[in-house]
Amino acid sequence: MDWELVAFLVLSVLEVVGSILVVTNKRLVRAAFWLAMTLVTIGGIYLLFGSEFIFLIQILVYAGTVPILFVFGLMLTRTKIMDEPSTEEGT
Amino acid sequence: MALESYGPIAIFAILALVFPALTFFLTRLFRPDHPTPLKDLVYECGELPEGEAQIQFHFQYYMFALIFLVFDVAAIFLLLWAFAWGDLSGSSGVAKYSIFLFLAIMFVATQYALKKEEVIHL
Amino acid sequence: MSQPLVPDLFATCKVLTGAILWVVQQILLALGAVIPPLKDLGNWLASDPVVSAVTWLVVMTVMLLWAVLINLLTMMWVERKFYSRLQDRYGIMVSIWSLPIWPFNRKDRPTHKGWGYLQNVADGMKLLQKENLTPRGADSAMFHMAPVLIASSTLMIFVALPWSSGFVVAKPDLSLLFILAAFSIAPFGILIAGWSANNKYTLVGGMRAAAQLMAYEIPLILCVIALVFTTGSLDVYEIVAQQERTLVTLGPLAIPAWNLFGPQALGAVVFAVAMMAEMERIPFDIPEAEAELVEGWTTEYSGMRFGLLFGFKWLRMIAGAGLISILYLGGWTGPVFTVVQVAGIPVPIIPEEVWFMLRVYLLSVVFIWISWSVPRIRIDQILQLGWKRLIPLSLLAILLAAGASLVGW
Repeated sequence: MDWELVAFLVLSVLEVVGSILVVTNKRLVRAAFWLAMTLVTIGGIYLLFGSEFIFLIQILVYAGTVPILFVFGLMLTRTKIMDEPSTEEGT
Repeated sequence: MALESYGPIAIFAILALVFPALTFFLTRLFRPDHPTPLKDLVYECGELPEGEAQIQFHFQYYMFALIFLVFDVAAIFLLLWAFAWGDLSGSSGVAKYSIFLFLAIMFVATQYALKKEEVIHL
Repeated sequence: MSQPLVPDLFATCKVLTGAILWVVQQILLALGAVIPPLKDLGNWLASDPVVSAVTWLVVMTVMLLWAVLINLLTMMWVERKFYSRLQDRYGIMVSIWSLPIWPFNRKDRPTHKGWGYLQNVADGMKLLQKENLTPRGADSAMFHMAPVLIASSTLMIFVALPWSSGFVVAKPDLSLLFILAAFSIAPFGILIAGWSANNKYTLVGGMRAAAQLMAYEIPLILCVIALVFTTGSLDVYEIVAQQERTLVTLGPLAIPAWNLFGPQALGAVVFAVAMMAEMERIPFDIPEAEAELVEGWTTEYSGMRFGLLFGFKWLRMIAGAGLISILYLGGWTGPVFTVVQVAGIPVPIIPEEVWFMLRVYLLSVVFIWISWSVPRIRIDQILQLGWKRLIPLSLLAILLAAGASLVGW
């Protein structure tokens, strides 16, 4: 049972699914969450390549900063851009 | 190789994700569930909530996050430099001390950026 | 010089797993006389991979229970009792004398003199049966996912944080950086929790919390960089092992070479202040400003979601105090006075775990003392302290550490 192959498959499926969900989601804060998950799984693939340092730096810098930057940038805009109009009725 | 020690970490990550989710699901056995319109209102110290919830924030939040990103990347370079400190040949001083030039330029730039955020509107 | 009580957690748990699996195997073999396939199942259970896998699960459960059940409750009790004494009152007093069962329900029981340890258990049980309200218009998926994100990233700290030289789940090569990375996922979860509740005040609390936590992560990383000059490694085992030698002997007292007593003194102070802000303790309490934002970014959560978010603040305090004691106060090293044999198992008197917990609890008492004596500072004061005072100080600490390593200190 080649655990590295299994781990690589799981991580890459999560990453591909996450990146598709980032670009197709209409609610931007959910896209930020999928972005965070994609970045963490990319870090996991770095770990499988053998570079533990890059994995930890990816989590520290990328997954800890870039989604927050994204959400902060969202907060600078007005509400109507963030959600679909139908979700504002308070579903 | 170092990869063997990450096996337990991967299993622990799954356990750490399952444990809070399981706790939240288990409370379904114990808690009542009678939502009324009054209970679902957001809390604004007892008054009826007024206006949109997602207000527009000041640009300074984004500025502070950008400065954090700059310092984080600089911290990575400093970390690698600190690791290699003993091995860098200090004969001419270029390898060991050129980081200070980088730090000086970065420090001046970030101090200028922080000076522009003197009045904090957060 | 110092001996752990549990030299190898995996081996200790393997004994426990062996016992459990032997009992299950005997039951299956006994039933296998009636149903033949069960005998193969029983033999498969005793095989090596299964025992290993179950042992790892037992190890992780033991660590989770130790950190979350025992230490969290004790730390919350210490805090509540200590700050009540600071406020000149008795504090929580629900103890076993409040239980309505025999032998604790006699007529003349001392109800108002209990130690109060069961109060946190009672609070947990209260929160278990509270109704979970989702505010109107909240982003339901994010609202329910954010506590899971915060709780799981806080729990990930405890996979690499050792409680002694053997009581740890995993030993990665860069465990210090791993712990810092686990700390750094939390601001995103807090931001999502504040945003998704459809409440402007939780959103303000969440944004301020993210700004504050990000501002104070940089002095943490920079102080770790200053530490690398002295230790040359990011492995917590290396760092603690290097602090075990004796620095100087004053008469009968041998002062160990803790990192606090060296060129890292400034780094230790900066790290402690930055860690207090990362733990969101008063005076850095503005995201959860109790008199202003009710509960800050956790206002809209009720029931066990609130209970986990609230309780994991203390878990981060344990992790932060543990990190400070590992990096600057010698971790779990301490003299072993004697070794007592209890049923064939050598029990060192004052084992490493006790020294570590002593340091963690003393540091936490110091943090609690500071917390409940000073008022809260404003968000702009917090950010000025972080960006304009702590970061230059930590860069100075790096310069001092580099200079000291050049000189050969």
